[in-house]
Amino acid sequence: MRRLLCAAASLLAAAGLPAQDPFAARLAERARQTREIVYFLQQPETHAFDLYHDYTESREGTDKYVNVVRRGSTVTRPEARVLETGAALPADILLGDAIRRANIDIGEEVLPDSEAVVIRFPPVQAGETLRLRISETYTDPGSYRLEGEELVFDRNFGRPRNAVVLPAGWYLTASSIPATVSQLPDGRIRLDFVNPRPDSIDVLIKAKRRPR
Amino acid sequence: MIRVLGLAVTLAAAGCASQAPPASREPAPAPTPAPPAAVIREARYDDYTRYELLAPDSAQFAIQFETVATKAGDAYYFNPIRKGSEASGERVFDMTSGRPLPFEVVTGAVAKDSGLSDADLDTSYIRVALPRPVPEGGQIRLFIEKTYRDPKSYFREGDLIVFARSLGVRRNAVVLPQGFELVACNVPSQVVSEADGRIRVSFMNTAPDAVSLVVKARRLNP
Repeated sequence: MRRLLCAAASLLAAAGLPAQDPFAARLAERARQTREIVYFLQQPETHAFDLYHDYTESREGTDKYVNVVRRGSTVTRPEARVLETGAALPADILLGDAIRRANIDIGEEVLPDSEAVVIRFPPVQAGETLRLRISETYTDPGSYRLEGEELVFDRNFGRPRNAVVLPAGWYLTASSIPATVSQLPDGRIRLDFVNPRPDSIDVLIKAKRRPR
Repeated sequence: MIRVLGLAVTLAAAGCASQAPPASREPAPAPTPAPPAAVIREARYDDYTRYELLAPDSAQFAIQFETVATKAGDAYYFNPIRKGSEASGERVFDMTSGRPLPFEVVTGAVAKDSGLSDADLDTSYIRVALPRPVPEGGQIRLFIEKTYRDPKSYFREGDLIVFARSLGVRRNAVVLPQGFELVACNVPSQVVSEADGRIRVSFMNTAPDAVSLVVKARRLNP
């Protein structure tokens, strides 16, 4: 929740809204938010999924992006780049005390197993913005698993726009949240979720292997 | 009451399929164009349509339509038959009693003369004789079954089947034929599996206009 509030506060700041307004988080303009996450599910036995997260940083002076890893998830291979230039940005995984030593505010108490990905970039100058893409691989048996012969992806999405790409060789059998569905050139199925409301959605996706 | 419960259970379990015997029907009318989007009325969320795609090369789909008559005093309910679609297999039921209702297919002119003041004269209608007048502030719930053949709405595209149709009803579901997987849907939809394994796509349209739905599917064992 604290992380959510921090994110909301950031958005409000970016939108120029007063952060002291107790209703500010709920009244932030959802359509103006710039965040989008695309998940690429690996084979379910691995419990792993790649993702990329795009967002626009517009707060003057901001020089880093901190992604706090959800409990139950582990992160590997963080990468980041500026979408307008292609320039790569340094990405570090910090654990527990390292977060505290780096004086990183993760919006919650830093515990020994706290994990955060920190992306550093030159401070945003007045009147400028930065469009970032952060790529990571998550492993989370709680969110992504095989149940019998069925793939299950069960995850809460807070961003307005999210997409999930099924692994190769799987077809969609269920989606709890309305999504548009499309097929990538390589045959994988993609679901796109747009949530215009200022809340999160509990996405539950099921899929089965295509017969060979 | 048993019949009512029977219908309710059947609707819930089989996605509105009804086992009731068919009512009398007349020959299918000539195809007529779709009603304009402006026909959509506000607050018609009671209506729900389920489309079951039949054999891919048949261009046919079965329609199960739940609707309500709400105009106090009305003795008839009119369900337009879309232009370009050949209708067959019509049946109508009173959802309260589960009993079949008498109906006939009439021209737009007849519909207008018998109470549908804004009837499109180029459209045919299923005119349902209501089992009782609609009470003031009340409603009569109806269940209408029919099968449409419409090659422009349901067709093949390479190794895909396509269901592309403008839908004015607010709540809709499309059930793929057995053995097909969903590969595209342009309207945000839930996806669920029927008990028999068929894939159902379901959505609510909250926008003021009709939705131009496109669903594509591919056979799992080509």
